[in-house]
Amino acid sequence: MKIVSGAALAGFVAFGVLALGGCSSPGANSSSTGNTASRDVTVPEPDAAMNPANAKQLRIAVIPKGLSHAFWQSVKRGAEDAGREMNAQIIWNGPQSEGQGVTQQVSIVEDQVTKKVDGIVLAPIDQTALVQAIDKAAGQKIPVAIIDSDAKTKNRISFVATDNYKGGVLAAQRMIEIIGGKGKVGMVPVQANSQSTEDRERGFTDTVKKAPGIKLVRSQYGQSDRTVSMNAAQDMLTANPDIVAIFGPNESSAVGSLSAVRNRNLIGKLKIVGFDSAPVLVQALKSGDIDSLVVQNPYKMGYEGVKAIVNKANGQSVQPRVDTGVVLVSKANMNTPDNQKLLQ
Amino acid sequence: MARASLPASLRRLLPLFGLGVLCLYFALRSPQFLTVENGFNIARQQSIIMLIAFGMTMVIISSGIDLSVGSVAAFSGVAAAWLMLPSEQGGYGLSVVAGILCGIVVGALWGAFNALLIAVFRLPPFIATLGTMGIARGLAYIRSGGVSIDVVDPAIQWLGNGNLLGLPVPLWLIIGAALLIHFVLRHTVVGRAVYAYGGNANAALLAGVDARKTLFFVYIVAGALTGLAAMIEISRLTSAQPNTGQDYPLDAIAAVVIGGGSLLGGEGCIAGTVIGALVIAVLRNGANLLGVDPFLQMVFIGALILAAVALDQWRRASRS
Repeated sequence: MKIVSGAALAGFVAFGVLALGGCSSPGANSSSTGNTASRDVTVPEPDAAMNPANAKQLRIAVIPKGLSHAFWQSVKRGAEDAGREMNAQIIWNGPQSEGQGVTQQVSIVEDQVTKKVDGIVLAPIDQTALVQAIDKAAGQKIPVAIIDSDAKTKNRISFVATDNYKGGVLAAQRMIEIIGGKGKVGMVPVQANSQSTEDRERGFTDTVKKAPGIKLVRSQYGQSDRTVSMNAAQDMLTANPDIVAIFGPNESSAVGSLSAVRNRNLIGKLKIVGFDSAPVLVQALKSGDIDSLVVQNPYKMGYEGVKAIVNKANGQSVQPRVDTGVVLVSKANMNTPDNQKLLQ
Repeated sequence: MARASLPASLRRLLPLFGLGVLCLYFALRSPQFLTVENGFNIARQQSIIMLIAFGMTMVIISSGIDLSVGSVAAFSGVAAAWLMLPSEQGGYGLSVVAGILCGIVVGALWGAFNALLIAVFRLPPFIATLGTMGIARGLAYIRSGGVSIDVVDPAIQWLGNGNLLGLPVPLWLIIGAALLIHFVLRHTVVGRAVYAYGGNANAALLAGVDARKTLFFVYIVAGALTGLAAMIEISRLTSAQPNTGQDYPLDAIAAVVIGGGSLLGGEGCIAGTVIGALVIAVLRNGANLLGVDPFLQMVFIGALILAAVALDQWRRASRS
């Protein structure tokens, strides 16, 4: 047991060394690497400004909400392409899952601040929880560009995201058109207090309400889960057998609606308009099981997020709000090169 | 036999040695690793797991396990944030200090509930805390409606992100809790009873150890520490997240095991857990600083846990 006490002591010594940082001073470190020197220079050297290839490579951290969704992989491709074009090194790091990764995402942002990256592109999981970390970055003069979902802070140089309300309007206009402007339509809402999907639902609802011949029914929340969404859609169809079309305002609501309609053998009789892209949805679009999908442009979110940081570093102007656009893709136009890219 | 006991004692120091190697490696590779700012960062980031792992150390020494810590953290956070909400938003408008105290008490009450199931209704700890895990998580979702609850008073930020006498507040809390629990485990009757009960429950009972009292003590302290950890979390996030902490039980168990605790009970110490939790924290932090692929980070941490448990088995086998 003496050993354990010894270990206790040594542990706290190690702790102290870690906490107090030993004998190295942060100032000495940054001057020895020189990586961060360019950050303090507000006016770039004339040489570097005229010949970007000679400029110091910027290090930009890109932090998604999660790592596994196809959506975030597109964001990554966009960020990396922008990095290649604009001579910036992209550091891709995010929490393992969106559902429970908030604390982990805060740590990742803090570590990038410690690393003294030249800028951070962040998709905050929670609009409140990331604010202290974002403000900390801004306090150390590290510019932060927010993509996909907003955060409750002014300390961001740009907000790069879809106009979700417009996406909902597009879906509603298409639906009114394909059902000939009359009938009962259903919607499988995603979840309470989710800004992006609520905007879509509002855009859809507002537009449908203006059409005199249409009645709207809402199911229970799909909770961003395919199975829960499917059950919600089925219950809605049981209660309202006269529904002629369904809107699923995100990937899981769209897939859930599709499964419910397939289970009831209503394919062909009932139209579906979805939101976002996933392999199963693209397949259904091809086969005609789904009428159309409103798709966002995650590639552009990654690309424009990195571009905002690079522009800021080069002293160029930065747009405070970049709309990355939404497109309605149906079987008729799904094979155009532009839309193929969005459906990836 | 003196020759055999020396390597055995050296093996006890292996986790510390491993931590030293990790720190050295990252210090050589990243100029930012060995800085005051980064040391403070690690303390703030890992304080949540560290406090939970201290409680888990006692639970594991008593040959128990607590799977409910993540859910209890979520519930305590939601409860405290809700009590601090202004009354016009459906809360009770509690001050930050009162809210934090309530959060800790709520955690302790969940610990008492676990102890009730284990000591009185004689459920195995794995099953009892599995049940609590579901109940506390569900209630946290119900109370919050499934969404995060903001804490509006900026005073809350002090606990997780503030400084006291030049050091981060969470670092003081870790040091205080570590010293206190170390003292209790080593030098008090109830602390010795935890080791005795975990090492051999029957022998301990025959020797006069009060099993109920011991288990209630262990789980209530573990619950209170989880509540405190939850308060640091809501401070760092300025909000309570009902879905937080689903990986906390496993992170805390990993910290205890890497630090030399045995899942069979009767073994483990706070110093070991400090080192175990630091190994995980340093690995994550260093990987972030070096820009290691996030998927690869998961592989490293998994491999580390396997290595630690293999080491534990080897130590056990070589002793018998």
